[in-house]
Amino acid sequence: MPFSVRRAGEATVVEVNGQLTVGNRQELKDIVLECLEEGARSFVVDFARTDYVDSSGLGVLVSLSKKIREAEGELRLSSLNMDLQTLFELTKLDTLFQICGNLEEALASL
Amino acid sequence: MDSAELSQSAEHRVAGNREQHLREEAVVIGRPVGAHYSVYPAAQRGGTALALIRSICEIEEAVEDLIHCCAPVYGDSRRLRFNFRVGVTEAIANAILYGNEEDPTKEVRVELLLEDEGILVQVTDEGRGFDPAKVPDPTLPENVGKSAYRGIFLMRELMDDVRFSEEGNSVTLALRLAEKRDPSAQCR
Repeated sequence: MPFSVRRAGEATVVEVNGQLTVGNRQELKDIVLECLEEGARSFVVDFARTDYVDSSGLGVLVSLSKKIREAEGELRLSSLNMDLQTLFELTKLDTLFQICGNLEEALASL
Repeated sequence: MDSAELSQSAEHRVAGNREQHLREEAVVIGRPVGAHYSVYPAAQRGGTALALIRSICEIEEAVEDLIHCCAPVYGDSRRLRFNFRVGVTEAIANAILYGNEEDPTKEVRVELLLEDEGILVQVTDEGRGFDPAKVPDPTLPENVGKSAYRGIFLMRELMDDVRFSEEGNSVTLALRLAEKRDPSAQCR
């Protein structure tokens, strides 16, 4: 399963296992939108077990960021490895998202 | 079930005004479930590799295979594992999504040339092409919040050279890789 979803207090944690790419981005979108509809407002997408995100994956994160913000929610990204950090910096998405070093830090910031 | 075919010679036009003549000596490896056919020569300088890809779900495996083809020649460097992976993956994804419009009857042809200085990759789709100059810069403030336009940007950032054909349905990527190991090593 590419995505694992669980609650951590008031927050919804989505863990990305393996890759976030054009092949599975819609599944992530569906998961988060469903959680939003059910009333969730605090989200952490954790990349501790992610080795690759493509441009489509970055795009869906941008799209979700907007949806969550419109619902007056909050989104954090956590546990990016060096390669993922590079992708976010190159695309200047590190200025759009709140990126935390690990999941605990992300949850504490919500 | 694996199958083998005899070698073939081919001429390829590689980006811009430069013509590159390749001799392909290859063994065709048939994929058991017919996902795609990949052609792997012995991994060596001057060697070539070819992958024919039809769908998004084939990209990850195909790019892994291409990396495995190059690693014996150039070593396991971050530029191969990351720059090459990102650049080639984005090129193939664009070719399938926008070039071939996800038509499963159409192929994306990925050709590698393993040169002394590094790798040349040509990705060609069966679409009508497009004008890459019209793709906006996703890092501009007005575009950062948009969900598109990052594929070509990442190709240009991470590969050393990116050239589109005049028609726009083919792109050639170059990546300089200085590390080399035993050139007679075989890829799997």
